[in-house]
Amino acid sequence: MSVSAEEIFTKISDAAEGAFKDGWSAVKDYAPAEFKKMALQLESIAKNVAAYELDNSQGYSPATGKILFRMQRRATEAVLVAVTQLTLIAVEKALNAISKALKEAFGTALAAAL
Amino acid sequence: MKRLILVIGACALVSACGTIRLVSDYDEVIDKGVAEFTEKLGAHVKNMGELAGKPDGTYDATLKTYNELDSKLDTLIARASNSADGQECKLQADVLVKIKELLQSQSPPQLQQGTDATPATANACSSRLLVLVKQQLGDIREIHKTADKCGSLGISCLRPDTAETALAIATQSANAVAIVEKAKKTR
Repeated sequence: MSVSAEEIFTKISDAAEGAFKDGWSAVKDYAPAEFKKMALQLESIAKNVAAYELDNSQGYSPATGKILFRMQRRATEAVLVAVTQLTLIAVEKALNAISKALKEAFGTALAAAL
Repeated sequence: MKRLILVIGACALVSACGTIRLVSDYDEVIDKGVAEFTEKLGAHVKNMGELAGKPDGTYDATLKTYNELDSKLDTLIARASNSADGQECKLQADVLVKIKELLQSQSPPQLQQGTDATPATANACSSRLLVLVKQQLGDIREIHKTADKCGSLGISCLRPDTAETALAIATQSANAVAIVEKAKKTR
């Protein structure tokens, strides 16, 4: 029984592609949705500060707007750190899928050799 | 002989191919703790928005709730920090550049560049995410205590519009913790 490099390559590629797609879809779904929220929240801060300046019973003050803007910067950092973690999880899944494919391929090679 | 060398090489390679861990294990305590925190913060901020201008909606009247929420986060941060084993949260170089551009002088020293990701550095990132949630709770507290004023007497409050924006932003950070834990759970 022989082991073909082409066969191993196909197994590894298929395993990595399947695993990475699965993990990567979490990043692709999460990141754009959060960036959209950020845009809406920043727009909301600008609108509410403008409303307050026209009528101080509406919206909120520039002082509050400044703190909310700071909050949004922190949320942006949180989203970027989360995206990095989700990417690492996707990479980890792909590496483990490759490792499993290698084990299977070399398991076959060992059986053939022995 | 060639075949024997191949077999020995294959054995060494396969034995080195254990399960690879770049990110720490799922932590149920952090997952559930953040969910409880988000629920309690949501209820508190919505209540404050509705009670704005009334005695029950002042900062002094709700100080205890802030302290309870803060303590809850401290417990979760301590848990994640202990598992980080003294490591820092390491990010890809381009992501770190973007964060530093965004935060400028406020860029946290706890964030470092690195490709040597390990479960300990991942735990440091979990800790960093929780610290951000805690800082945002502090921001809401600051608005409630000093920045927002209601009524002719200018009493401390959380205006309805402030409550809505602040809750949306704070939820975004809390969700960042939750989504990472969920991804760890399902890997």
